[in-house]
Amino acid sequence: MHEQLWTISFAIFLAAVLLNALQAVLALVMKKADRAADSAGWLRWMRRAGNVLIGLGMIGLTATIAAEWRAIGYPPFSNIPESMLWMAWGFCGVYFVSRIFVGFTGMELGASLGAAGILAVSTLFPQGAHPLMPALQSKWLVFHVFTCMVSYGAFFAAFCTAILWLAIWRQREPQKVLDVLAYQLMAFGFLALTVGIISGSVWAKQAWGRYWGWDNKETWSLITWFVYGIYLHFRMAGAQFGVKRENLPLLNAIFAIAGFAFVAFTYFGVSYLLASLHSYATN
Amino acid sequence: MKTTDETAQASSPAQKPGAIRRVIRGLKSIRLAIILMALIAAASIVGTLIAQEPVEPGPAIARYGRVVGSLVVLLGLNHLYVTWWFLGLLGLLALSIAACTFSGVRFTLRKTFTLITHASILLIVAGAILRGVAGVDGNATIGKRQTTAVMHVPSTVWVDYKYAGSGGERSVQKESHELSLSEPAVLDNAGVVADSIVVTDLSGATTYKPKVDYDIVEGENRTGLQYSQSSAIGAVPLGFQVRLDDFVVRYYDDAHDALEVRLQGAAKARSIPREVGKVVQLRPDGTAIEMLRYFPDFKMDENNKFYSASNEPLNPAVEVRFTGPAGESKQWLFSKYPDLAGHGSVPEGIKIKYVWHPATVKTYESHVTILDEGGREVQSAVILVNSPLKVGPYTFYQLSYDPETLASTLEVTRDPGVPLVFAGFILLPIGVALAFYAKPLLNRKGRGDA
Repeated sequence: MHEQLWTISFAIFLAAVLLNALQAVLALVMKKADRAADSAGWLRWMRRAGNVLIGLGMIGLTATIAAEWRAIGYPPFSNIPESMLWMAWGFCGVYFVSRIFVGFTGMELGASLGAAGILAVSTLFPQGAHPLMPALQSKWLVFHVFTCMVSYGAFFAAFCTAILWLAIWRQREPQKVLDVLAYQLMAFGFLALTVGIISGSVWAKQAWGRYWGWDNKETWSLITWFVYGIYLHFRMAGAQFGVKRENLPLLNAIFAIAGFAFVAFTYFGVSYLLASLHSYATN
Repeated sequence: MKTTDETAQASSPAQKPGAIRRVIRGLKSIRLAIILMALIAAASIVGTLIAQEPVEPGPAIARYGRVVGSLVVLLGLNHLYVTWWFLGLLGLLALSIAACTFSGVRFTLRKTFTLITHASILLIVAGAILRGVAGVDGNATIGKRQTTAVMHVPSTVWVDYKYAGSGGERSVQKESHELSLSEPAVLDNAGVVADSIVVTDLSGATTYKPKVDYDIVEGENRTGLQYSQSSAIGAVPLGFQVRLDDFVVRYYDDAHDALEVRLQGAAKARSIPREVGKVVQLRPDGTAIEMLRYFPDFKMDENNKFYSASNEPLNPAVEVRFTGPAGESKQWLFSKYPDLAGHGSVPEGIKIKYVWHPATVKTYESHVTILDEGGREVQSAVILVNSPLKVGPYTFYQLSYDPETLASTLEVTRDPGVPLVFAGFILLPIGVALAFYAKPLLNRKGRGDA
């Protein structure tokens, strides 16, 4: 059942990619032709339809998670593809919250591409649920992994925003898009990661009697936290380092992209390249 | 941390600041904080790439060679997180945060949010220091129906030893080693086994004969020291007794077995679930396999007759028959001894093994009773992973177990820093959230009012 729901969700996100790509291209063409793209009613309807598709995809993800949870009898966090479902869900959630505050051409395309991309990448990893080992049987499992996955989703959204900005919109909407959106996404991701690391520490204390053991996954989470912590402090005092205010968007873009490299290594690299107590997802 | 405006104000003092003020000003610098965070992150990356091992130089030199290994040992990169310089970086960052939090801050509502964030980190650090100074961390391994009144904490000992053999002759005196229940301390003996070991505890008060108080781990290339339960070194009295009444391991119902058949030229092996009486065609030329018998606990009596000694999968074996153009042949396949298959009775071009996947451990439980010093039963409880037991100042965590003897190893801690750390854990996300979301609202309101 959950496999069919996953396929339906993926198909919806692919449809959203197509529709939103068409909408973005038409909007750009109209802007180039000096026509009032924003006021074109049919373009607005296309945009709304694109958002509806992303929303339907998110509902599909929710149903997939619920069906899998019911089928295996425990929260679906036992392998990488399962945890990526939560990451895609967090990514969509972060998108819809951001959408309330910011709107720009191609935002829907970035969101649908990102969600479809996460689901596509998840198929590259071995499937099949593993029974939960004793250490994972805790009420902290859902909260800890959920907050970490939401933070990864937010950092991925910041990454997508930075890529979009560097590739297309750098000359058009620099302050609005990056100084607001990428910063807010990274700040929210930092908050969620803080909660994720703390909940993991509390859980480790309950399971093993210590908060922190310098396990490779723990250490890389801390490294990622420091990287975004550096960014937040650097942004606050950029003038001390000779960064001009007009260059802040570029700084945001650099950190959003570089920071996500650390997130990706923490998520995938540690699981596959380094020994870790957290590598049960890849066993 | 100090903002740009504050920096501008601070850089034009009327009087020349004193040395302490200069140090505090330096510690408050956001530049220093960023550099420290970057250095700690970079060092941590190195720590994840180099195997973190016991402090002894032997394993690092064996792993990385004499030159690189010596450099790794010199910089402490093989035990990076406890080196003086890494702890110094963490301490300096804590001082920097403390300077930002408490020095020269005017307490306005806006600044309170950042202050909560920084103070919460300091609370966590203070809790960790308190644990290190006043806490105890040890292990207690208890056999079934046995009782212990002590736990063992890792302890530093001095070791004198000498060895003589084909690898050379050497005498070492006063070498320091840390002993723990879980890991043997390895002596750097360059490929020979020590022939005499004398162990002294850190105070130098007592000398222990190794065979009395230590298990000597002798491998091909090393001699090691390991705690034994009877050792007095590092034993901390609990003030009560813990009896292990029972130790229970529960499993998921996911044990399964299968024949794995690989045909010549095939990229992947084919998995065939065990089903006695089933015939499966392997090749288009008519070669087939039939499963004849299954014995979960295969044994052979004195008359060379095969039988299953029990229904427990202690030595699972399956008898198969191959049929096809090459004729008929029979073969016993053993999951424990996969190399026994294929000696003459398996058709050409086929590799076969019988694979047993044991059930996954679901949970393991220590059923314990706490007795007071007089031996009276005080309470009974079950300790599981994620469900520790608190007795007085100590907390018992289910750490591991010996699968053969079912002896349970419990982590025992006394941690007076818990309230501080948990206060920090609660305040940190609150401070970060307020700094990100309440502060801009106040700033906007302030601008609106102006």
